[in-house]
Amino acid sequence: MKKQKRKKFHKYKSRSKESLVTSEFPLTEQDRITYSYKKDDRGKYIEVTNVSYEGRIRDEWITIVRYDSSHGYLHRHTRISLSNESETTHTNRVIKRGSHHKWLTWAIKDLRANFVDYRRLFFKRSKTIDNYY
Amino acid sequence: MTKKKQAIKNLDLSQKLAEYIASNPMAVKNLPKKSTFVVLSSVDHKLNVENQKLIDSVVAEGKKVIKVVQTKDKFNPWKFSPVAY
Repeated sequence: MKKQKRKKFHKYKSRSKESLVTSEFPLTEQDRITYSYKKDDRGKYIEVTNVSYEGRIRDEWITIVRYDSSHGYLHRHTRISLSNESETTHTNRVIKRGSHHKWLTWAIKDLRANFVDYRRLFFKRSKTIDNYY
Repeated sequence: MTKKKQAIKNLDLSQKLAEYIASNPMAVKNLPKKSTFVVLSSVDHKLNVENQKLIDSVVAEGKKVIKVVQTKDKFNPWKFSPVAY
């Protein structure tokens, strides 16, 4: 007796609605942090769109370092200098595994621990003195 | 309080608030979408004095500011007050 193959019926997956949440938080008069993340309609984190640390330099807000997970993994972008708007992208010392929620938390903790160093190095590359911290 | 201490404390508070907003989107439903949140602590008076100055400087930039006060209420841990818009 021939075995009948079970037909697989692909369930129609309705598109869940995504919402983008962006929140800006000043840390001092001269720097701030911005969080952007996407959630689905069940409240689950889909993507860390952006976690950025910005500094106010010569009356202009500049993103010094930011994290995103747009390619399916968390990575860090670092602006080169005041005169060079390009960014370097790397995953050195960046968490590799985990959920998007875990990545968001990790990015914030990394900024908490290192934002002064990121800022200091940015000013060094820009050949400018940072008198703030 | 040094600026570095203020920034670190604000990072900690902003993380807690961001988690709350992510989990409770209804809490900010009626607030403008592109708002700037300045957080006041329930216990740190010195930080609150500095952050009050921060509110003034952000308002002077023309931004929509929401003052968020940390409470000791488990069910409503944050109180949102629009400052200027």
